[in-house]
Amino acid sequence: MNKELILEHYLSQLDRELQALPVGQRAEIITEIRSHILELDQKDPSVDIQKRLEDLGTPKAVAMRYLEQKGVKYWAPSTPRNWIKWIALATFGSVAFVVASALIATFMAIWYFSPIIEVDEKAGKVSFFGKAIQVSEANGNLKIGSFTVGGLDFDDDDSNHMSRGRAELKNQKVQLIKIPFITAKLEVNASQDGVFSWECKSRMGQNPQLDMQAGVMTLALDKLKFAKCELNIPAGTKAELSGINGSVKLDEPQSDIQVNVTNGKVKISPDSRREYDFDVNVLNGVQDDFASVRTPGALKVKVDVVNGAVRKE
Amino acid sequence: MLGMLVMQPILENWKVQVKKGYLEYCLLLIIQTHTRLYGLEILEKLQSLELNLKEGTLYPLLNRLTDDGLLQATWETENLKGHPRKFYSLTAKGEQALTEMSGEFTRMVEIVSNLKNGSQK
Repeated sequence: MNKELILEHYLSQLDRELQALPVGQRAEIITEIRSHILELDQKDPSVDIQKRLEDLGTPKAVAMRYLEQKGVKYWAPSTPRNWIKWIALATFGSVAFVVASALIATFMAIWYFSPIIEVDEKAGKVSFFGKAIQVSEANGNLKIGSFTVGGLDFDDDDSNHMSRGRAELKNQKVQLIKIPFITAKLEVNASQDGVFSWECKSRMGQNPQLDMQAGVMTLALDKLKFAKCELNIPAGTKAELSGINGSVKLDEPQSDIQVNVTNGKVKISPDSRREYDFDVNVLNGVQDDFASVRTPGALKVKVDVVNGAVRKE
Repeated sequence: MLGMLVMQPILENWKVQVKKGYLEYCLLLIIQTHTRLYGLEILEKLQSLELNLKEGTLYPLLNRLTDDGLLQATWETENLKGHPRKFYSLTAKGEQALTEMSGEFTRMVEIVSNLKNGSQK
């Protein structure tokens, strides 16, 4: 920085420090100080101008002496530059506060909800944010906190409503057993004594009604809420299970069976001694390969799942 | 030695107070003697008299004496140098004040002199 710039910078600071005085007086003071410094510099240019200004005193100190002599109270400089500085500082401070708050909240959320994703292959569950959100493949449901969307929650302690029943099919011409359900976990076995039986544990509801019409026996499990049932279907009797959410386990089927599940899982344990004609369709999800034969004696097992899985056991 | 160290600040403070008292008087006397002077000249005269006054103190003092009407200031620009200079000279009010100051200072010196000679009334 050259001499003139240093001097002008000093004088502009002095002018600001003298703002308590009228403009005319300030201008006269500034002119006199400038003249003094230039005069000294002309007499001895070897002396550093910074040194000369230091000898004069800081702008504030010089201004204070002028004001003291005049009996005028000192005003702290307040220039547009100061306002800009404060506005910039306030803006920066606000933005920094918001960003820092967001970062802290994010870290706290990560800490609180960690681990973010947890996969439990054995239980067929995927948990998000420290189990705040859980997707159960087995139950076909989505749990957000204590709220369950679809599927079943068989871990609920309120599932204490028991219902059971049986029906002799030997003397009845039952062509088909239909079992509608809304939310259920069904374990289907084959009975060899010609008796259709069921035992259900549910959260609430009434005993499922058994209806018989035109050779079609219907067990209305759709009246139960979160039912967990064990069903025994007589060998050789066709069955059709249709539900919205849940899981169906077919244990060594001994008759033609059709299973329709919108959201959930179907597990099939084929009887190694029997032949099956499988027709498995999963729209969104996964399915295992099933060895299928198209022989007249093969049992037809048709499974349709919209969202979920069909597994072989 | 310890006594000197204790006395030093007290003496320095006293000197500052005394200097304050006669500084304006000396300043007016210098200007009266040379009829008209500008700031740097006044500073040099004061320094030659070992009245070491900083320019940061001198200019505010000149400014106040001008406000008080004891001095009058005139801006002049020398053709060769180019820098405007503010020349100070005594006003009539300044001349009158200087006369009174001289009288007061003479009286004060007399008092001190009498005290030192032991001729206290």
